[in-house]
Amino acid sequence: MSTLHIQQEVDTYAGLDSWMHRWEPRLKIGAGLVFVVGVVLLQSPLLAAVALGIAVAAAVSSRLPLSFLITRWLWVLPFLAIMALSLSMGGGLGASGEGLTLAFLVSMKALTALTIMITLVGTQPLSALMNAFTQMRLPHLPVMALLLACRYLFCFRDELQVRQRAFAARAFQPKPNRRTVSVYGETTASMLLGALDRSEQVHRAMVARGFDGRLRTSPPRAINYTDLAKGVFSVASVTLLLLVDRGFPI
Amino acid sequence: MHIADGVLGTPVVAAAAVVAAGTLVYAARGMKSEDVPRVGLLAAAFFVSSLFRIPMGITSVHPVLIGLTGVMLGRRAPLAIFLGLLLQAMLFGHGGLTTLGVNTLIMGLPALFAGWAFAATRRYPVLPRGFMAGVVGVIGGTLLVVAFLSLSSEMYSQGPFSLINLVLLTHLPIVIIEGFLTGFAARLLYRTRPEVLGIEEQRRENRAE
Amino acid sequence: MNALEITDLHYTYPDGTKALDGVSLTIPHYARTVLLGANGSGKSTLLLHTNGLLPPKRGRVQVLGQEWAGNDMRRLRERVGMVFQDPDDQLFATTVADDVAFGPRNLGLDESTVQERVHQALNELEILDLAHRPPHNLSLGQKKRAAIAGVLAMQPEMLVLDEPTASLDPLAVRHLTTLLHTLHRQGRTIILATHNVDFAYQWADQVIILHRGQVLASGDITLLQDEALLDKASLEPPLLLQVFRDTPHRPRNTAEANQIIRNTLLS
Ligand SMILES: Nc1ncnc2c1ncn2[C@@H]1O[C@H](COP(=O)(O)OP(=O)(O)OP(=O)(O)O)[C@@H](O)[C@H]1O
Ligand SMILES: [Mg+2]
Repeated sequence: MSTLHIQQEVDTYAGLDSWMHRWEPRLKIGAGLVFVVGVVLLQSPLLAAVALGIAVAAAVSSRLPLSFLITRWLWVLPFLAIMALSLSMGGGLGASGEGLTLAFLVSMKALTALTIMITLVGTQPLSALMNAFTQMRLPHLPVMALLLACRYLFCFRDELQVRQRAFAARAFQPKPNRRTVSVYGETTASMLLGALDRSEQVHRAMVARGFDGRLRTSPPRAINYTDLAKGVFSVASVTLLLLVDRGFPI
Repeated sequence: MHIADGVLGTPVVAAAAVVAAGTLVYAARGMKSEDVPRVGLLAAAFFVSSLFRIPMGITSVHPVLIGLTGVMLGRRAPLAIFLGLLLQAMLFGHGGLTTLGVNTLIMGLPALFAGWAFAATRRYPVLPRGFMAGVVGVIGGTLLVVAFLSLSSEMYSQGPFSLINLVLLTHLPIVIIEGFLTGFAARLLYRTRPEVLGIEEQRRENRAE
Repeated sequence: MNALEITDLHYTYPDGTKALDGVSLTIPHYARTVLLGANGSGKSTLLLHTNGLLPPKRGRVQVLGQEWAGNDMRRLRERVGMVFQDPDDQLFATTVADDVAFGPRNLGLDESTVQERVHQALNELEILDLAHRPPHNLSLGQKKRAAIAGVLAMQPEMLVLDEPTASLDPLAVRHLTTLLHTLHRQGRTIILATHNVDFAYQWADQVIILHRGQVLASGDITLLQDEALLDKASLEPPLLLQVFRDTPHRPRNTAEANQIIRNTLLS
């Protein structure tokens, strides 16, 4: 099951060195978000394609292999293809140019956003990313819940993997029938039951180490001029795209 | 049930982000430190549920656990769903960044509703209640997907093979699957941990003790 | 003044399971106490009371000479460190070092002290090399050590450990024994729950045997020679005592056992 391996891939390229890797994570997240929002606002398919080019350049210059990008794209490409097909049928007869254009625009934007996301997440360890969340001025309890979710995700995933192996070992084949659903339902429930008991125990363990609802983290790395320059550069590039998009003569 | 970046029009995305922020404030209000692990664990469960694949023709479908999250978390459900979505977006590239608000609404609002409906039908047996919560969750989510799509561009609803028709078609099996799954899950939870009906309720019971 | 004084403690879980049924016990300062009992006898439940993590349903719990409640509870938790039975309950941060830093940070220490404490704790458990690994893909024994480090870093004056030896390899158990001796010599009271009778026999000063939520017996290490008692508590006698069942002198550890064998063979 390919999904199961995705998270392990998250940290695969985190140890490399590049301008993206050296960028202070909080600023990087902020700039990435601004860039994606800007791209989503674009109306010209051509400029959206340019944005995708920029995103790919960013990814490649941070030493993420192209093959890695493409395998991640493969996840959304089927959906985009179905959408393109559906839109191009238009009223049901022949290909509609307008529909195709929309499909192209949407695909470019979706791929750009995905590429930016992969680059943001892939160019530092997951732990550093989570740390960055704790160092932003966000409400403590939801951030704490995010940290726990991130941690227990791997527990669940492992447990699920073990259970699926145990199912397979007893020749269980998931099919769209009542039995599969009942097996999955009870597996879900028993995992959740375990999770509930665990959640109480986890809270006790946190309280035992002095947790009082406040999240205290290591001091963030100082933001330097290079970090800022990178931020300005990426915001400026998307602003430029938007200006051209809206017909400003440049 | 995720909508990716770029699919929806800007006004829709912006409005959804604002409403989603409001929903999250509602969901997080009055949160205590003891609620943190449960919210976190359900966010993780929500994430992981997408790994239960049931093959169906050339594709496969997976449960979404909207109803179950609502039943178990009550008003905190949208928060868990938001965190689960954030992680899915970061680790899988599932969904999108700018559509986090949209997706939180698509799944969070039906979860709230399913949780409420589950609690309101207390007098009935738990299996049909769970089934109902599951069904309500997915139908609500699907309708919201359709609503967001049709608000964004009329092209999404044109023709027999329109995107909206495809969405409706592919979500039909999930409705049934999720209904049964939530029903079975709720029954098992009810037998073993009857007090599990959402944080609010549990706290009230504790106080009553 | 005692480190722990419990009088007629009862605890019932929300689902109705009676986990503690009138427990009374006293643990003096600076004792090395082992809480022995079969699965489900109530060890973990009892330990949670020593840190104010479960409110007594009935009875009294005095830790470090007083009953704790409300805002004082925080001070109690600074002074009493508790290592949970399942390290997955305890480890949550994204790296081992961050997790170990969680407690010291909650104490409000400044960053350099926090880092110092983290380093020292990781060093004591010999897991410095794991500092930047995410806890979820460590082996169970490594997780266990990380969990212990997370509590040691808070430098509590009393240590409560739930099944610390479970899933550790023999070398790690020996290492832990040495560490516990060191911590004890530094003046700490240590309470440890286990069903590892062999470990208890070699390490403890005081033994408390728990059975179905009640204290079956409490006393020194000679309790472990009482086969009838152990049988009642569904425990096995320590291996050393099984082997040296009929010798006049009962060896406490393998060195003593060797001595006995040598003497017997030579005479
Ligand atoms: N969260 C819980 N809810 C309900 N019952 C519980 C809970 N935790 C423990 N129990 C029950 O309380 C009793 C005592 O459990 P406890 O965990 O204290 O035993 P233990 O001596 O630590 O066992 P072990 O050696 O297996 O760790 C058991 O019957 C157990 O089933
Ligand atoms: Mg135990």
